[in-house]
Amino acid sequence: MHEHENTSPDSAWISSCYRNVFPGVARYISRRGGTRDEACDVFQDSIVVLYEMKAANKVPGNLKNEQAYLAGIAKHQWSRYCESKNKTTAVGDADAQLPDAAPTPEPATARLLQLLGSAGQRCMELLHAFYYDNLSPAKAASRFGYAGERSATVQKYKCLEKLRNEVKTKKLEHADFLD
Amino acid sequence: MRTSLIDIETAEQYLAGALPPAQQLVFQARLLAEPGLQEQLIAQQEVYTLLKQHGREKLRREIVTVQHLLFTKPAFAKFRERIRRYFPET
Repeated sequence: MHEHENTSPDSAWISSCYRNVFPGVARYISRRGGTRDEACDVFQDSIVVLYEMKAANKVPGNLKNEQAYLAGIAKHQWSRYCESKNKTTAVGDADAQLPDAAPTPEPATARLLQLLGSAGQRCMELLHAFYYDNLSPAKAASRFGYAGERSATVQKYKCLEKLRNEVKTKKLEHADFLD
Repeated sequence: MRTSLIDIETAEQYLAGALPPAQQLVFQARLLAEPGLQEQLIAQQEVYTLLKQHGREKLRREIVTVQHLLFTKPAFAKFRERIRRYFPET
């Protein structure tokens, strides 16, 4: 699994997660009565959790650690899944410290997409890089071609302002917006 | 940077708990005195939530695409065979 240093998760990284870690997770889940679809769902959630932890610099950037981490997250996710299904399953204490999984988000509503779309593609990419990938201003400046960190940061706030104003307008138009 | 952007920057730091104590007090006082600022703060918080949701959905789509390739492309037949051993019924 290569380092991806808080950049967008590329498909090579995701593929490497599957090829290196999924077989072990699949065996673990199959031995506990899970199906292939359940293993896939749990693994998808686990990659999201791992990615968010990496973006927040909460995972030591060591190859073996990362794979072990992902396997640990997957066991934890499987245990949570079983609890939600009222199943019982044994899970090691080591997994107890993991944060709650990224809950599977509800699909974005049309209104949400419309709102985010109103900021424009470039703004959305910039905001995604800053707020989901947790890119530093220096890296964002270099990736998006800004003169420096400050320019990238100012642009980030301009994009944020557009979205914030859109949220305010939508809230006025629809009292139930974002409910 | 224009004033409205400085307010957004300050609100971001306030929400992250990253404002120095003196600035935090000033900002809290402004929130009480300026209802518009309070509204903006709430909307800004909602934008962060939306961005996170959007980010997760985008990542999940990428994961599903990769998973589909691994389970269909001839190049990954060995990988599939390994997984099939654990789930012979599928």
